[in-house]
Amino acid sequence: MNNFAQAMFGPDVTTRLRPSFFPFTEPSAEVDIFFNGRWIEWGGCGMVNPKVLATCGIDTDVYSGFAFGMGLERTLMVRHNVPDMHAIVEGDLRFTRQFGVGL
Amino acid sequence: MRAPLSWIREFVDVPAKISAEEISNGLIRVGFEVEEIIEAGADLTGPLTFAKVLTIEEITEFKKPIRYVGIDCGEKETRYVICGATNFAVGDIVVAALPGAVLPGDFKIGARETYGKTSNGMICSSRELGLGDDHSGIMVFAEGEVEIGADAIAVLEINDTIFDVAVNPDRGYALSIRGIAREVAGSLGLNFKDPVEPLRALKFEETGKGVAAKIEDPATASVFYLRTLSDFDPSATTPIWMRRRIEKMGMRSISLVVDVTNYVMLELGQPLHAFDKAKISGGLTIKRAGKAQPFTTLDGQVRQLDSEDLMVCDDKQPLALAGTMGGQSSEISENTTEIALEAVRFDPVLIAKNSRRHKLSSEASRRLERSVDPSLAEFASARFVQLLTAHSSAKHVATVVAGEPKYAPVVKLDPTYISKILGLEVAPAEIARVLRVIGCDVDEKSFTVDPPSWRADLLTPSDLAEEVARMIGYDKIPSILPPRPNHASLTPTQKRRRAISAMLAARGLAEVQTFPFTNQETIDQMGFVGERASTYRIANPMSEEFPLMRVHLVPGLVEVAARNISRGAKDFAIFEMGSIFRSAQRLVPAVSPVIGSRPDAKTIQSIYASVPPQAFHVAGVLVGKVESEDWQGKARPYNWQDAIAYAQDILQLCNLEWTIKRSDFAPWHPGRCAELIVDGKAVAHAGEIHPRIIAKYGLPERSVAFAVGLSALPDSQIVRPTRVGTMPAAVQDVALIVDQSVTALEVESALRSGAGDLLESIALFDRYDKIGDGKISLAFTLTFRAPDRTLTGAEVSEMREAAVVAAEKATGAVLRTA
Repeated sequence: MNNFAQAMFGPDVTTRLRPSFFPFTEPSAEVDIFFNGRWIEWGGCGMVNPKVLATCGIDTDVYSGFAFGMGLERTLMVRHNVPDMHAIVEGDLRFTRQFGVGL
Repeated sequence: MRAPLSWIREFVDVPAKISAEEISNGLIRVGFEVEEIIEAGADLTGPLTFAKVLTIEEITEFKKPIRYVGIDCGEKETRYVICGATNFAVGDIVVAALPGAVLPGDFKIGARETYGKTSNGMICSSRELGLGDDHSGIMVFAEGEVEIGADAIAVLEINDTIFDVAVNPDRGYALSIRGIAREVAGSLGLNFKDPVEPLRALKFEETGKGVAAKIEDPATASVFYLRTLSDFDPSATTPIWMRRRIEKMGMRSISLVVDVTNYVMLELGQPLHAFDKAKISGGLTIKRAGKAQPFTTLDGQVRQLDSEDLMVCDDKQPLALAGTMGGQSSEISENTTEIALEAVRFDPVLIAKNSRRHKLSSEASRRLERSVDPSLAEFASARFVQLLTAHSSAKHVATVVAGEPKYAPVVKLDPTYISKILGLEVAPAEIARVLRVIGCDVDEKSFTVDPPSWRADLLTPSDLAEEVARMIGYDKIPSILPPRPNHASLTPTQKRRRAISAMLAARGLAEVQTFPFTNQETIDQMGFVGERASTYRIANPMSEEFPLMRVHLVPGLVEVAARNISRGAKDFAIFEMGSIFRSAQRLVPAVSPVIGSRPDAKTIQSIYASVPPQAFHVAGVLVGKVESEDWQGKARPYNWQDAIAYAQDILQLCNLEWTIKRSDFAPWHPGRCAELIVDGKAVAHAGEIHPRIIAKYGLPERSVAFAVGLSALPDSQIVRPTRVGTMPAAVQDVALIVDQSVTALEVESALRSGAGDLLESIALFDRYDKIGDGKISLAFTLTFRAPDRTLTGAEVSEMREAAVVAAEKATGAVLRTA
């Protein structure tokens, strides 16, 4: 998560894990990033609940899993300082074209 | 869940040097997000004092009733204030803000002239002081309840720090001050005094017969405490401290009996319900409603019960929607003197169902559906008796118990599992220590862990791993980048999608993403019918305007195009990749497999059968001019050929072969739509958008669109290139006159079939339609090449001749000579 955050937001970003709840991970955590002087909720993660693995037919004595995810829009908003999420979904080309083909 | 610091301090010795922010950080560290730290009373300064109403002069010449009130504030002289409320009488005690006071909203109180009088202060409502939402009148206290002239800010405990805490759904126990205080203590390493401990020793005298209690089906509730009280004087009022705590929690004070049930719920987390015993026939039984029937809840709403609803019933009828809301018929009233107090550990799932079925989420259901400490039915109901008998004339008559509390089993823990799953070495003794902090009994020899009564969520070693991590601190978990899996890469499907996106973007189309929602009006407007118009209705749509899943990508793109046009754009091209939804097949209801091992093939199949097919498409809309007019040339608008070319380029990129035919297909212009066919299956359409849609959305005439069903495309085949000949090519042109109904494609394929194997390529280069008689001329260039020799002029003429003969036969073409 640290490396991912740094790839997304630059080398100075720090992450913080907070205990949380997701039915499919145990333990679970929220991932916050410290960016531009404040903590921002970025995503969630955790060790895949062994019940999930077992139900998929995976031997939990051998395997464990790490799961994580974060909002694309949230990432885009924070990384590019986009104040309004609407801009991302309404398709105004004056907004969209500024990004070019890569980010 | 709110938690006032003054209340937390009752159960935790928080040193004065620990700031609100440190407490908040402590809660965050153990997994309780503090959404807000409310400094109650920060926007209020005195003097604020209790005053007795001495005189009331009614002033009637204004639109609304105005009172000129003489009050005793404990000063030498009577103070006079103007007041617009009428809910008080001479002799009542009220709260007065004196000149110099500032009320919330920077409302400065001073002596002022109003309604022809001098008002020397203000008597206040609860809302004006920021204590609650009640603005129905000013706050009134009974004689003797408070001291006249006393500082109301202190007596009403207005200054407090209130934490607004987000509680995760697996932590029902923390929907109480008891639970939050325990977490504060655990996180900051402070001593915790469990409010339940002093209740364990409480004994009440049995003086008569109590209301009978019964649980019909033990699966619906484990334990039911029913305490009967009598001799209650309904004029009893709620003590100020209790009322203020209830208000600080964001609830309203209602009456002593109701307030005590709420207070105990907030303190311990166990919802309680008080019935007017006089309105109960016989005993109380927890059971299903059994049949549909109307039932009036406390909020006055008549609800239609479902036969599955769990109810608390007397011998005649249902009295309460279990764990969710009481009924009106047995409600506590101003005449209630006998009370039956219910405390039950209901099955959480059944309460959640009650709540969902009636769209009724109450303070009680929110707690019970997250599972409540089974031991609390006894202790919370005892706390109710303790508080009510202390603050009123009520007397305990009898306690009846049905069922017994059921607790979660012990968990066998391998301490090395904790270290393994956390990636952090934790010694067994340390594991035992932190598990004891959260209330577990730990046998370190066998390493069995007995979770505390309030933690029904601690069932597996991984649940305990989270507790250990939480109490040690998630910040202690080291950050180690795992090795990169050496065979992870994109699937062929992903690669294909990305290649298409990149191609379209590189050609100047802008990618957009729209919401996958639509409505019937749009589906009709686009001209979709039958299978292409049938889709899924969303149970809880984000917007009522778009309650259906989209059936095609073009409508969303048309809307984006219209939005851009309305904002001044003229010439542009956009595309979108995404799923579409059609309810062509009947879905089976989703099955929940048994958790813990891989379900059998049949179950897996039925899981898939419950998920709708979601075809993945790419589509584009091209609007206005592809080239604008300038000194180098004329403008060229996008036309149907551009749309078809994009569709073809996508298929070309996927290395597929296709044929084209004319089509009538929504949302395109009938006849101006091309259908692209791969392996006999229509996979793409392109052409002009239907004029009706163009008009409706205000797009430029002849705007065009393409759509390719990517899910329908076969995999690319391994390329097996033909050998590239190095001998010279021979080029021949032919012009053929055909009927104008004949397509160039038909002529081309006829020429190709006649020309033989040495034909390398064929290309249409001219179309002439000024011949008349419904005839046109089509001119093709044929390129021939042999792999092993230079072709002779005779050979080439012969092959050209054969091609023309084939075209004549197949299409009636005539060689154009002049």
